[in-house]
Amino acid sequence: MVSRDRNSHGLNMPAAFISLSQPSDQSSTSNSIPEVLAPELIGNGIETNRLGHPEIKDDTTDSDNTEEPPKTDALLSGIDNEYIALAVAASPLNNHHTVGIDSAVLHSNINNQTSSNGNNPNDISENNYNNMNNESSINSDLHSMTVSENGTGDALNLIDLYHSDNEISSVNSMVDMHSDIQIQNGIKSDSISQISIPSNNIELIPSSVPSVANGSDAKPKPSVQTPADRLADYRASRQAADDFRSSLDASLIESSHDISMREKVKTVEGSNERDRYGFKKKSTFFTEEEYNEWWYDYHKYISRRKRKWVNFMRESGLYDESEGEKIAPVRFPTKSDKLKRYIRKGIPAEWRGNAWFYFAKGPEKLNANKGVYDNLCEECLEKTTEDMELIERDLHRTFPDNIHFKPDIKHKGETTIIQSLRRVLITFSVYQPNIGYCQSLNFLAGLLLLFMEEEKAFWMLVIITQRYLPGVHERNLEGVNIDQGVLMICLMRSLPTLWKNVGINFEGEPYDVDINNLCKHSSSGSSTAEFHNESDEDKINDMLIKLPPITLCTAGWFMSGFIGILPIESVLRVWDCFFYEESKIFFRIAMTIFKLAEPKVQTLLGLTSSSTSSLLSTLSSGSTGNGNSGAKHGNESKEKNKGLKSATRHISLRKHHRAHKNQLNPDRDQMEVFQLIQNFPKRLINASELLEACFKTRNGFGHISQEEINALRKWVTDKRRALLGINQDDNIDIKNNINNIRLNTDLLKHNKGSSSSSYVWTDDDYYKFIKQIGHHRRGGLSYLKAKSKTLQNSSYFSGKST
Amino acid sequence: MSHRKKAMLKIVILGDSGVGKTSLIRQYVDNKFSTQYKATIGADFFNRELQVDDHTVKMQLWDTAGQERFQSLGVAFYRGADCCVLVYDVNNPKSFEALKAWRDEFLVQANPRDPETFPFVVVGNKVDIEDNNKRVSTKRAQAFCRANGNMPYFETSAKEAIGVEAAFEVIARNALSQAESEDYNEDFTDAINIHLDSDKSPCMC
Repeated sequence: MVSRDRNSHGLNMPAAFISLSQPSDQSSTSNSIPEVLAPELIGNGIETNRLGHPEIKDDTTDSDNTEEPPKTDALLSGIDNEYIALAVAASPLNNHHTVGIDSAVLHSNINNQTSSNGNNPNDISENNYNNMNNESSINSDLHSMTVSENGTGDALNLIDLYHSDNEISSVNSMVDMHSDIQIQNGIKSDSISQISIPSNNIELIPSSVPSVANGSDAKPKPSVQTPADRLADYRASRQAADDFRSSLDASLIESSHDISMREKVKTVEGSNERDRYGFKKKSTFFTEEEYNEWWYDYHKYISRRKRKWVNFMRESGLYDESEGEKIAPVRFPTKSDKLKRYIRKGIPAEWRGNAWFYFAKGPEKLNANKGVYDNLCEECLEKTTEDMELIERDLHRTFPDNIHFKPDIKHKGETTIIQSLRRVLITFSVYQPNIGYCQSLNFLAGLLLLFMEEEKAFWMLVIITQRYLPGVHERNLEGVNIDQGVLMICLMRSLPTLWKNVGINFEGEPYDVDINNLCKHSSSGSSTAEFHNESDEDKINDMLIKLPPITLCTAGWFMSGFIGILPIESVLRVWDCFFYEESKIFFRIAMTIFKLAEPKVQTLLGLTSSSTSSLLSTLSSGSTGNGNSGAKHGNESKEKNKGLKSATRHISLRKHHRAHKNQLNPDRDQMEVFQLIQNFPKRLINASELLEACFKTRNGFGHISQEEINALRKWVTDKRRALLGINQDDNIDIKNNINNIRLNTDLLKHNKGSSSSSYVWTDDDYYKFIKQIGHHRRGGLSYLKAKSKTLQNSSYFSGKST
Repeated sequence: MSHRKKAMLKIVILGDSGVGKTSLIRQYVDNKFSTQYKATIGADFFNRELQVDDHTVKMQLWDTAGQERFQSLGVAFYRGADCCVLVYDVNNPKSFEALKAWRDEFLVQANPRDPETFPFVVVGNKVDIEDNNKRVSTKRAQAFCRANGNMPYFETSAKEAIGVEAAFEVIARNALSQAESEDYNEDFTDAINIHLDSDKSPCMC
């Protein structure tokens, strides 16, 4: 039995307490009951819990939580008794349960108050009970739930909850047909073993440090401050940030010395749960032991590389012999194959900040904008923008696994780096209004801040979003959509076998384009594409507009520069190359991840497809076997509940069809692939292996040149603009509603010629467009007609976010 | 039972940034709460299997990014959803006020056959936080849910594991009903009309 965090908090699932306080001898129905809680009850229960004094509960001060007046019998009379029975059965909303939940709250509060003393025998037994039953308690307790006559008033509430008769009747049928509700844990147990954050972690969070859960509470206490106060605070904070920077730099240099002492690494590093940057070594996807095992070899590699770097710098006359071990170099050798090779093998961690800044041409940017950052910071002290609220919400969930962002022990106020992060993100949102604040910038800025001072981090963020990843973070995210289109073309070309499994639209239909027919644009240097046949062109167009589902996953890789996707040491190695070799690196790494994952995808689908085909043969050979019996079973219950005897034959067919459909659901295979690709890179702890797989000459991705990426970017950009009718200067918020539809070829043809025209889609156009689409889809049009007024007023059509 | 039907239910979780969508899903899928979740970029995808009566139901839970611009990444995956969960933070009225827009957006993008009966479930998260000043009252939330197609409403704390199982139980059941009625209508629209008006539950407002 795996123990769970929530048990330590006392307030377990109310159902568990219901059964404790409510013996099962009063059951008036043998049906098991879904665990539905009355909102009123939840409200009361929590209210009590929040106060921490359950006895105050009766003294209800919050009028919002007062019970609704009981429903009258007149209302009841119109309803079929069966529904009342159902509603009662499906609802624990009766007085007994009220008592149960109250006592649950009581228990939980006792637990909370006494657990530190640990001397309360009741408390202990309660906890044990919870620990022992955390999986089975829902099931067994549901059986013992009782329904009292007092529950009728609340039963109506439940009917209230279910918004259509259709749902009520199907819940009814489910309750009627079967007496078991079992919640299978399936995947769950697997995941539990992977995630084991100490349960006391939550308790440890001091109330002064805002947590993720606090969300909007995260804002610093609004005290009455004059502009002068704010300025003084700001200056103090900048000073603190500078001090922090020096200490962080020193600790990285220190750690690089430590690395050279192998034994020390084994003991000191091995016993530390955090890596040299302050991140937790352990993740959901590997253990601390696995990390240490890998690190033991990797640190030797790092020391070796460092020696080589020092020699290289000496040869280039860039190594200060007297200061060399204390201060990281600020200048690096000029571009060469040797330098590229060295960078691909990893820049020493203590030099990274300077090296990234240097290779990204940060010094030039900084020199051209002296004082700009400081002025922006001071300007922003008196500003309040919408972005600030979003930034505030993300500050504390940027690197919660890093000690500099979220300290282990009690920490008054927020950390220095969080304050720097706030300033960088706010000033950036003001400096780049076309981007503002976009989630994922917090990760980019956060990682930069671990390696360089905040002014440099700010300019790096500007450089990344302007030069390296143009448009990727802009308000309509068109840049990231373009890059996903480019990535898909690369995949289609380089990994055709995998493309068959991921180059699929949301309907499960493959974009099976003959790649040999596809454009030769990169070699010819022009950005036009040549297609041998029109159907291929249509497919490519469709793919570039809608983008396969897998791009929902890969978009994040680009936006956050693989932070949170790859383990941190791998991210740093990727970033080393990225700043030197530009954005093609992200495409190459993405391709490498796909390539490394390919065998796993094949295994996954190999297994699935064999079972699918056997099922297919069963079904196609006639209605025999399990499928049929299942259909019959379904028949009986439907018939009983709905009294639609004449429909028997139809339902039988329907059930059969459904079984068939579910087993052959392409969506299902696709989703499994999606999940595999989503999680696969998180396990790639061996940074060197990843980089080697990427750059190796045979079967690597070194052939994807920046020129090719740029040409493809332009090609995809033009195509999307033409197909979506977006003008270059148009900052309209493309909601990609077009994703929803099967592209109408007429529409495509119509828009083809308009790429150069200056026509801008208006909100009205979008509405007409959706209406046109809706016409092809069942019932969509009538709904849209009815809703047109509200829709046009809703944010959806206002064109702009917020 | 000789035959167990396998069903795949697709659930899309929507709501403003930072309301706790990931935490809710992780609490439900892993029975864990962590303050260490990072902001979701793009979309994440989780599975959980559960047994609902004779159905072994596999739930596909789509965790989405809350920031509005992320809708540009494609919302095509809304399509074919069997239930949509609208999450807000009870301590953040703005996130509550955004529910209507999320609902409308979902209906436009998912374009379900019958938008009026498509199952939504509203979840007010973070009830563990003591903040009476900003709090969206239960009554207000219930009134909103009633006015918008009688959506079931739950108050939860992903942190304390309050109400999460209960909410997802209803989510699963409603999704299952939706999936069945979809199939039903898809195949035999003419033969059977299961939307019998006489069975409509009375309005309790």
